[in-house]
Amino acid sequence: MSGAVHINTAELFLAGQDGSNMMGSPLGVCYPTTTAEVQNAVRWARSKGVPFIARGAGTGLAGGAIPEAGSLVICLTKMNKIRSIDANRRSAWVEPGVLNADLSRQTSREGLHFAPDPSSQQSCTIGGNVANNSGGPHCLSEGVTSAHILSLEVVLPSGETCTFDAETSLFDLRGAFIGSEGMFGIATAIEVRLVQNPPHVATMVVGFASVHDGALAVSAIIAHGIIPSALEMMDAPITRAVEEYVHAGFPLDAAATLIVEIDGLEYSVIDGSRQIREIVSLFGATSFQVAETAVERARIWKGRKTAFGAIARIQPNYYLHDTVVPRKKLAEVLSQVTAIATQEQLQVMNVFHAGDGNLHPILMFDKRVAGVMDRVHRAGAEIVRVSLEAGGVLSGEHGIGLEKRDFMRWMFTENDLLFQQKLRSAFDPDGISNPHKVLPRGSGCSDTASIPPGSWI
Amino acid sequence: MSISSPHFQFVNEEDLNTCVNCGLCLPHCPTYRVTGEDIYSPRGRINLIRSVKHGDMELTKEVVNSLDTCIQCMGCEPACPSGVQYHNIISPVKTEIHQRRYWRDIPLRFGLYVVSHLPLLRLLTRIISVFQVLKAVPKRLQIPRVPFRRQQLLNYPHLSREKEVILFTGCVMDAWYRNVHEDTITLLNALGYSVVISGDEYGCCGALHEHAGFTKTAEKIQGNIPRSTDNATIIVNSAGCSASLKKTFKDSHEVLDINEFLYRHISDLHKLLIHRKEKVIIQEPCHLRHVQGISLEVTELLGIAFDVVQLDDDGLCCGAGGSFSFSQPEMANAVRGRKIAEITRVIESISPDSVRYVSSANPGCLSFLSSSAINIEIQHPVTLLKQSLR
Repeated sequence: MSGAVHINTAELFLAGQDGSNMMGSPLGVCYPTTTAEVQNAVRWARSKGVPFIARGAGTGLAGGAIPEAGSLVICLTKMNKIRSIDANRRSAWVEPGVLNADLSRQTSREGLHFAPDPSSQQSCTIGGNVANNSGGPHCLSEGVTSAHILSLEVVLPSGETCTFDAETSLFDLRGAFIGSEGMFGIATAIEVRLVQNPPHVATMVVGFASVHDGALAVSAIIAHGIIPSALEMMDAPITRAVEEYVHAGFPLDAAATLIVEIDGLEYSVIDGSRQIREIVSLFGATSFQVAETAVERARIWKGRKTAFGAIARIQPNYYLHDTVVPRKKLAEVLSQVTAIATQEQLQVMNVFHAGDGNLHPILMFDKRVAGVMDRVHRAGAEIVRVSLEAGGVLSGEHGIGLEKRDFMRWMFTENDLLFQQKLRSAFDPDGISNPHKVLPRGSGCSDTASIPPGSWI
Repeated sequence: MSISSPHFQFVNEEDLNTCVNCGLCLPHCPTYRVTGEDIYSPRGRINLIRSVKHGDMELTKEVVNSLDTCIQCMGCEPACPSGVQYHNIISPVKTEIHQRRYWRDIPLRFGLYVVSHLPLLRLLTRIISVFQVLKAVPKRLQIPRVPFRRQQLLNYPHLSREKEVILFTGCVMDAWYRNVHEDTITLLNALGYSVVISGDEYGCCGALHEHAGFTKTAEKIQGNIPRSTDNATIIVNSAGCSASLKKTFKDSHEVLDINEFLYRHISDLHKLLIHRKEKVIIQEPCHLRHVQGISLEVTELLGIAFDVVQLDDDGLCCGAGGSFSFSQPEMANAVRGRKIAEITRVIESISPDSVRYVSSANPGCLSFLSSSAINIEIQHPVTLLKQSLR
C-alpha cells in the first residue's frame, strides 16, 4: 500500500481535513515508509512545482495540516517504528509516525516515558509534536517538546537530508525546526529524550466556589515554590460534561475544579500534598480529594484529556481556542471570555493549563444554524484580542496554522515577521513546504496568496 | 451545494453530527492501526458516509471498500469522548451495500446459509474434516481443524428446578466446539445448576448474518428462535452470540455470557478450582470487551486457576469479525498479524516456555487464531477453568 500517490476523491477528501473546522483540497496523498521515499515525494513535488505538506494523525486544531489547494499530502503514519531505545542514555530513535502514547507505553517497560503529553496523545504522532512544539498537562515541570528532542533527521524542501543536533553541526538548528509547523521540511527520524517514570505520584482534585478563587490558589502554589507536574483547571459546565462520561468523581457543585499532580520521592510527595492542601484551603477550596489508585488517577486524566470531545454531548460543533495569559490575569480574562461568548450568543466552556496560564475556551455551536460561523469567528478574534491586551500570546500549544495566521500582526511587528520570513526562506526558498501557514500574507515575497473563502467551514 | 443522494438515508443525521472529527478513535481502530490511512478509520468512514448521504460524494469503489473493511469490532465506541453510536451508523450502511450487490456476495451468502441450517453445516463439517485429513483444504480458507464426529452431549443429572439454566448451543459452536459445551455443562453442574440444552430447536442466533449486514435474514432467524415459557436464564458461551441474544431476548429472558455468569459465582469457583501455576494470555473478543463491556471479569476468573498475562494492545480486534475474515481476508490477516506479533512479544518478554495457553471466549477468534501460524494452544476460558476443577 506504499509508494503510490492516491488520487481518488474519497482519500483526497479525508486528507483535506484535520481536527479543526477547516478544509483543503489536495492533489494527491502518499504514504512513504522510508526516508528515501519521503525524499522521492518531495523531489517529485519540486519537479512538478507542486507544494507539499507533511501529515501525521490529523488531530491538529489550528489547521496546520490543512493542505493548500493542489498540494501533495505526505502522510507519515506508515513510518511508525521505534528504531531503538537506549535506556542508559535515556533516549530513543523513532520515526515520525509513532504515536505519542505508544512511545511512552513501549518505553515504560524500561521505566521511562516521553514527557510531552498533549490531550490527543493517544492519537497524535511524534512528528506532529515536533512540528507544533506540543505541550501537555505534564509540561509544566518537564518543559514542552523542544526540551525533549535530541536530534532530528530532516528532508529539506530541496529534497536533501540533513541532521540537526547539538553535537555534529556548527549551529544547533533544532530550536528553529521544532515548532516550524511543517514549513522547514519533514522530520523523518527523531531522537527523543526520555524521562524517568516518577516513583510516587499524588493526583489531587480540588473544588472552588469561583474560578477567581481557583486562579488565586494556582498563583499561590507556584509562588510557594512548588512546581507541580501538572496544574489543570476546568470550569463547572465542562466538569459536568466530562463527569457524565468518565465518572471520575469530579465535584459537580464546584464553580471550578483544579487538578494538581505532584510526583517524586515518597516523602516529598506526602509533604507536597500536605502543603498544597493547606494552600488551597486558604483560598477557600470547597472540596479536596486525592486519587488513591492508578485506576482513579487514570480516570481523572482521561476526563481532563478527552474533555473537548465530550462537548458533542451538548452541541455538535466546537471551536477549541488556545491563548496564553499571565497567571495573575487568569480570572480577569476568563470573565472577559464569558462576556464575549454571551455577546455573540454562544455557549462557552473552559479547560485550561492553569499552571502556565494557557487558556482553552471552547465555543460550542451548531454550524447548521445560519450565521453562526460569523459569530464564532468574531468571538474567536475577540478572545485573542483580550488575551493579548492582558499581556498574553496568540497560542500556547496548538500552533498558528491557518487559524491564527491573520492575527500575527496583532502581536508582531513588520520587522519581526520579515525576520521570520527570512528564516523560513533559508530553509525553503521557494515556499513549497506547507505554504501559506503561520506567516500572514504580505510578510514575504513568496507568500502572497490568500486562503480561498470556502476553506473556513 | 448538496444534491439529494439516494444512499444511506437510513443513517440518522444526529448520529453523524455527534462526531466532532477529533481523531481520538484512530488508535482504537484495528484497520487504521495496520494501515495508518484515514480511509480505514472510524473518523474517515463517518466522514465518507456523511458526504455520500448528503450527496457531496459518489458511492465510489474506494468508499465501498472503506466501509467493507470495517470489522465492526466497536473498539471506537468506548474510546469516543463524544459518545458517537458508531454501530447505528455502520449497520444500516453495511445492509444497504449488501442489498446493492447480490452476485458478488454469493460465496458469503452461501456460507451464512450453511451456518443457519444445522444439518447442512454438520454434513459440510464432516466433508471438510475428511479433506483436512487428506490435506486437501486450501490454507487460505482459514478453516481450523474440525471434528469428523461431534462429541455426544451426555445426559446430565437434573439437580434442581430452581437452579436451572438454558445453554444456548448455537451453530458453529455446536458443530466445531462441542467440547466447550461439554465443559460449560460440567462447570455449571459443579456450581449446582441443572442445564437444559437449547439444541437445534433454537438453532443459530443470526449474529453472523446481522454483523455481515444481512439484516433481513438475521431478523428472520431471530424471529424463529422459540421464546420458551420457561423463564430460566439463557447462558451463551460464544461472545458474539451472547451480545446478539441479549437483544433478541431483551423482553423475555435474562441472557448472560458464560463469563458474566461464572463471575457472579466467583466465590464458589475459588473453592472449586485449583491454581495450576501456569501462565495464560487473554485475548479479549470484541463482542465481549467493547460491545458487552465484560473485560476484568475474565481476568479475575482465569486468575483463580492461572497466572494471567495481559496483552498491551488496547484490546484491539484479532481480525476474525464473524464472517469478516472470509469476506476481507487481506485486511483480516493484517489485523491478525498485529495481534500475533503482540502475543509473541509478550511470550518472549516473559520466559518463553512458561506461557501455555491463549484464551478467547468466542468461536470466531478461536478458529481464526488457531488457523494462523501461531505455535501455542488456543482455548476457550471455560475449557481452561473446567480443566482446573479440583
